[in-house]
Amino acid sequence: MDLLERNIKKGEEVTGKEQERKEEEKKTTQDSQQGQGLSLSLASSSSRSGMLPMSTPPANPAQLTIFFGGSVCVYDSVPPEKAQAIMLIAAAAAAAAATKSNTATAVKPPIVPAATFAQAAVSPVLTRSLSLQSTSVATGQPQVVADPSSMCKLQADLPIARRHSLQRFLEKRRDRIVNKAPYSPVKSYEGMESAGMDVTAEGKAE
Amino acid sequence: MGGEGEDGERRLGRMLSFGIPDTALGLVMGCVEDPWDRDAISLVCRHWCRVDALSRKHVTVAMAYSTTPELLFRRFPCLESLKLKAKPRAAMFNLISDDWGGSASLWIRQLSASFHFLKALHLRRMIVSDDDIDVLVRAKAHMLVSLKLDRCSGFSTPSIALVARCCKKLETLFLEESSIAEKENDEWIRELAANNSVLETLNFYLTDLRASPEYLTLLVRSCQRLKTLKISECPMPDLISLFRTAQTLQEFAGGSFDDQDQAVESRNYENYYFPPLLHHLSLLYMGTKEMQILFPYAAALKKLDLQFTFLSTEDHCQIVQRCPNLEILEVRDVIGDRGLEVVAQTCKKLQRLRVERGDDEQGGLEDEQGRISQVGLMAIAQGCPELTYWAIHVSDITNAALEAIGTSSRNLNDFRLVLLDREARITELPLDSGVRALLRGCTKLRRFAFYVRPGVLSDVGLGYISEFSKSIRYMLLGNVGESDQGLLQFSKGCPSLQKLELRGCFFTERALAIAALQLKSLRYLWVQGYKASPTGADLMAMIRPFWNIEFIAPDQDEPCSEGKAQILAYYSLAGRRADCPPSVIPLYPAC
Repeated sequence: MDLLERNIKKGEEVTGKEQERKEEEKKTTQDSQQGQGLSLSLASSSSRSGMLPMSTPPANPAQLTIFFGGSVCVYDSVPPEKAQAIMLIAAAAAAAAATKSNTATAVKPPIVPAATFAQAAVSPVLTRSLSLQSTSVATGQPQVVADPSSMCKLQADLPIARRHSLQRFLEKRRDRIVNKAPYSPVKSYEGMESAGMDVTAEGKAE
Repeated sequence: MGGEGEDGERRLGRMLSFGIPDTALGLVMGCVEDPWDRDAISLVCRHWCRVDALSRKHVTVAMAYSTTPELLFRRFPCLESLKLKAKPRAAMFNLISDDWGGSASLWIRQLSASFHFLKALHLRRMIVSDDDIDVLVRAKAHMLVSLKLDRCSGFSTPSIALVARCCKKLETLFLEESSIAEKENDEWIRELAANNSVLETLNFYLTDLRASPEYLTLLVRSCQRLKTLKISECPMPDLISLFRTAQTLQEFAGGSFDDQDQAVESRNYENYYFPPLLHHLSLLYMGTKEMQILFPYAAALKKLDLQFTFLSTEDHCQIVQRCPNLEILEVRDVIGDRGLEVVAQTCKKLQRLRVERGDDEQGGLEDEQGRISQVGLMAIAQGCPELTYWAIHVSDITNAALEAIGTSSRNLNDFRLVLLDREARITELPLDSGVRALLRGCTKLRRFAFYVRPGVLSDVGLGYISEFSKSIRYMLLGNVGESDQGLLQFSKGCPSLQKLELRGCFFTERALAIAALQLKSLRYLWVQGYKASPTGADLMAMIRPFWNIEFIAPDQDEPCSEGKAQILAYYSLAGRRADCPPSVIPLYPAC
């Protein structure tokens, strides 16, 4: 059920000490961050400095190496943006797994047999799982929303939020009324103040 | 111009300084307090940058993760006052999880080891542990004059007691709206009373801390200079003797009314007394019957906060018409158009007006007249020309109202409007021309928020904002625009925009990325609600050096959590955050 379960082996096996070392480091950081046995690394010339590590074409072709479940997969000629996207999905999936304390499955949609990664085409797997993070309709299907009416629907998903201090005040007021007359009919206010964004912060600072 | 290296720079510096010695230069700069001016000064040449840095007394770091304590100290070693903010503003609206981050530990450790002249510290929306306060007190107790833990969490009352015991020079202790664990009741107030005689401001308003009238009265007796006292809930009848003692008091907030357990004598409202200098009041849960206690003092009031009261529209009218000297008014929209008309007629000196959002339920707890429309907006615009800050929630609006603001409210530097979802139909849409008129008229505007619904502001309207917001540094836009075109057009202007918050606009990732790159002054971007790209890679289009990009995953357990994901991007010299919780995914830098 995990995202990168299938072993699509293409290209060489992992060779070279440098490669292994880099992957080792990546693996530890990723593990400690996400607590899962998945690690990705991108072979590129300068990965340390935080200055556009993928901007210069590396000595060896853009190679993506994935350690998962005891096997290693290496993919050649993976464009940097794709690699970044893959890492983003993996990170998100791992984050979801971490927050769900007692379920085994982190990613909901089933895996669809994919074309090889090395090609430029985006696999349906990627599309599916990425749509979890997308703001499109909750059915989980990837959608490019073009018409205004569905845009309205999306926008309705984010009701205006209430400021914390006022929310507490309104709750306290309701409590007082209920306490004074516990058996008188009081309208239900549930779900009134979930989420949203208010605007009136103090003018002095934000 | 000049030679190479140090020599050349020194020559250049001296030329620009007209031969003025550094000491004199520092003294002159010392008279320049505005941080924007200081920023400009520091960019003239390295020499001036250094002199500015050594003479800078206060710095505000708007995003604590944008730099490191070491870097800050290296540049500003003589700092006397520091303000740090960490969590996004959205945290004040329950949109940021508790584990997001914003710990003050590293900062406090650095402050304690260096910053030898630091007297004032203000932490806003950060996590401060008891340990942190311990470290701070050990290092700075002999110097600390002002400590503000503003909407912070992570500490408990024994730490406040420690501060009270050790910081004898403390003039300001500010804990407003912080989450504080109470462990020893209000012993900390007694400690403060016992150890401090110079306190001028004590603020623990909107906290859950208990405060006994006995200890508060003790404090007021011991701190003869106390000007501002803002407390949590404490029965007002019990505070009458405190008010009689505190003759220097100018500002009071808190207390509470509860008509359930009021004894007969406290219903005698003539007993209430406020000190002669009092000009700022915020009373909690005040009802119609109790509001008469304000009447004898109303004419002297300059600041009034009725946000947390149980007053009707009529009550608001009754009070406000007695307050001709009001400069700051904060209410909920229960004040209604009628109340705002009274404000417009009476409060000619009004500088700050805040109209918050009340309960939404029709015919429920809020007064039925409690709605604001274009009528109230126009009344205030025409009646209160001195307004500099105006934040308002409206249920209906027209272009004419916004035009009126543009014509009459020329002094506005901060304007925030939220269009509530109460009315299905708005009188006049779209509001493009009104927004244009407002921005063209209010030339001093620095902060602007426009939170509306789909259809209210078209792409053309976004173009207007972009064109006419020359000085605006902060914007919050909600549900604006129709398509990516609008955002792209928007990002071609707004030359001063440093901080942008977008909510519910549902532009595509690609448009957001391009916009972020195009907005010349942008250093902080927060987005909730956007159209994610199929591969998630479009966001990477805004990758650039020193630009941190973070993705905040929504809570998976919440229903409809898709669409609530957030993007946070900001300039940083510190590189990637090292303390991201599972829900915060740093996208760039990669390591």
